[in-house]
Amino acid sequence: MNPTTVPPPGRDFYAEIAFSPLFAGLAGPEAAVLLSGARIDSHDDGHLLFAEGEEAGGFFLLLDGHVELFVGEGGRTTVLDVAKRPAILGEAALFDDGRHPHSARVVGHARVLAVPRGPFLEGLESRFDLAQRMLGSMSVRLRGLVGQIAELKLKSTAQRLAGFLLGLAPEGEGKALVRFPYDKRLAAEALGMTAESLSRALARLAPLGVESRAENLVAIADVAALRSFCAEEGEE
Amino acid sequence: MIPIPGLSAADWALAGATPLFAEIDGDTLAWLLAGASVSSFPDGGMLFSQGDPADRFFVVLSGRVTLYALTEAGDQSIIEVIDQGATFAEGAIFASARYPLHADVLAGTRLLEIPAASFLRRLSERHGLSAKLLAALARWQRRLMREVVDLKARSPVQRLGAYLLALVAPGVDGPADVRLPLSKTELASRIGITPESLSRAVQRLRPVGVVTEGRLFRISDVGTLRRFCGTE
Repeated sequence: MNPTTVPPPGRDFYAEIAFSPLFAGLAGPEAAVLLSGARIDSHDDGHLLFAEGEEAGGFFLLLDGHVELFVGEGGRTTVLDVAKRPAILGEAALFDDGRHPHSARVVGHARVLAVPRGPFLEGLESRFDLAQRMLGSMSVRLRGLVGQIAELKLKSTAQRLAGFLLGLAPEGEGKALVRFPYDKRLAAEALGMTAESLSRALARLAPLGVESRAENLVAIADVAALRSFCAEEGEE
Repeated sequence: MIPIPGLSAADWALAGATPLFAEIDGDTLAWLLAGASVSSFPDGGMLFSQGDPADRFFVVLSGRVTLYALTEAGDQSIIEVIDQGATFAEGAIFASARYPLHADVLAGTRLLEIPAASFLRRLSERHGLSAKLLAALARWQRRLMREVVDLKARSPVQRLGAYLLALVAPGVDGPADVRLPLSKTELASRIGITPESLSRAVQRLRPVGVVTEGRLFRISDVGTLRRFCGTE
């Protein structure tokens, strides 16, 4: 734990959060009111940002690292997704029944902006531009979920894994070397498969020039070929 | 007092009862929806394509709209089936102003089309209205997250059972008959399996008391099926 707190308003503070469409261009006294009490925290592996069913005291902007979103408790949990920059986390609860519909836990390490609910909701009431940005931000998330659902319905395990690896590779064609950003078990859960299915899927990608190496590295011989495999129909 | 030409009293009541508008009073809603119009699609067909500019959103007054994604290979996967009394595409008008999916309308469908520009302008003019829309988006997100969890956590047989349970009237606990509102091919796509696996899944529901006659599914005990599917 041991959060490092940066008190707003400071120029560095705004510069650090300006990449998010929700906060871009915010500055001055009005922004200071809106973000009063907001702070940037660093958290270690396993830190629970919020728990399913818990009353939401605010929301989070993920600046760096990974956060696992999951539902359920104990042995019966389902991973919804593993969020990374520039995800906004936990805001939906503020507009719904006030309670988080899922839990959020840091994987490895994460830096987050924590925004307390009170001042922000007040700001939202008086500034339509901010409300529309929030509507837009939530729409982007909804589209992500719609896409995830389409993949789960339409794609084989090998194709879903290929899509995940391509998401880690730089744009373009030819060769690429990528590293699983977190352990393979978590990647498997986020992709909606077991760790065994992930291993089998990785083996099935071998003929396409995908080679698993030590230290969670994966070598891709031909990015374009892998991309067209992802788009194939009737796989599996 | 119905503010939109071609809209019946029943249509207007239906629009006012959609989750997105349920908390907005009639007068405010009439003002907010200025410029909306009714479109009829006697023969059905395509409403919009993925990537088209999102300049309108919709309420289904009657009939049905299918939202689907296409892969580069041309596969169609049904993401959502929108029935009477539901809004759709409201999310698209806020963010990138592009429709994220393709939409087809069934023959005989009637839609209330709400132009985005005037809707957003009016929304900005009256405080408190956008908060109601934020709540509606939050609820939609909850719905999609539940679907993701269903897809990930359940076997194909459990996904089929959960789908059937969603068709059972609330409060029913003993035997129930449900009729599929979709073809079996559409159902297979919706629950994420191949049509061949669907017949196997249907067979495997027999031991928990589900038999099928065409599109009719007879559930001998809803409680038993709920326990099997883990949706208690």
